[in-house]
Amino acid sequence: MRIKCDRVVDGLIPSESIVCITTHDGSEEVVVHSGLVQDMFLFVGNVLGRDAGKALVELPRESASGKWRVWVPEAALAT
Amino acid sequence: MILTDREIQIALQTGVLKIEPRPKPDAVSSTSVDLTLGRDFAVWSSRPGMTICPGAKGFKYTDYIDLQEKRTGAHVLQPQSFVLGWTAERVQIPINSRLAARVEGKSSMARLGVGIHVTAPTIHSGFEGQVQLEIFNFGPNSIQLDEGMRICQLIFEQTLGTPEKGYAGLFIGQEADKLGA
Repeated sequence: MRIKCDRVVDGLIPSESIVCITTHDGSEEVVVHSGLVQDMFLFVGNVLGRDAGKALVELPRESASGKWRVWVPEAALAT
Repeated sequence: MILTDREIQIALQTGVLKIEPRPKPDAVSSTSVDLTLGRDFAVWSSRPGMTICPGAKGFKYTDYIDLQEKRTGAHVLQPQSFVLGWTAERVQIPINSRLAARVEGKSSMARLGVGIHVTAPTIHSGFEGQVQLEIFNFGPNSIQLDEGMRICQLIFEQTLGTPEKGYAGLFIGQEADKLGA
């Protein structure tokens, strides 16, 4: 599964990108390997849970606020 | 259980674990594999009067990225100073590999007073990328960090099962294809 990125900027090294994604209660930034980002979508693996239009996904790395798993709008997901 | 040299080599040969460039045979020890330092560093600077609040709602790391000066090449780490570095090797632990790892320092560096991570040693199953090192010089002398030097070691552990994130398995193959792995 992939999630839409609102923003993708270069990380501190060429192999890393910093992506910003929308969550159900705000946004999260996460530093990831650039290969996991394609066409403004971030690979996140299987959906871990669903609830009222939200999906629980695990980010490839810990976000800037310390989260691994976040609830995101299902509309932001793509296969 | 911690993987021994034999299991590490088998994992590398079979693609269960990927490290590029592939570590030379002498980089593997009984229960770990040494990684080397890359050429990139990032040094934090401070802004007078500023406090970073990572626990605040809406905290954005990118608001502070301009405080990190990128440097390349040899880096002299002054006493009581901190720098971010990365391994030269790209590590990939597929989420269905039933492996995870820890990055740890090396005694050769520790005896000089240099630590290579700040309490964040876990490399989760599914990790992909160069390993970030949070390098601190606790010693009284300046230490030169050179590209290619042995800087850390990875210790691999078997996990009990596959994380839910990758349990279906199909995703992993798709991702590996997309990554050109």
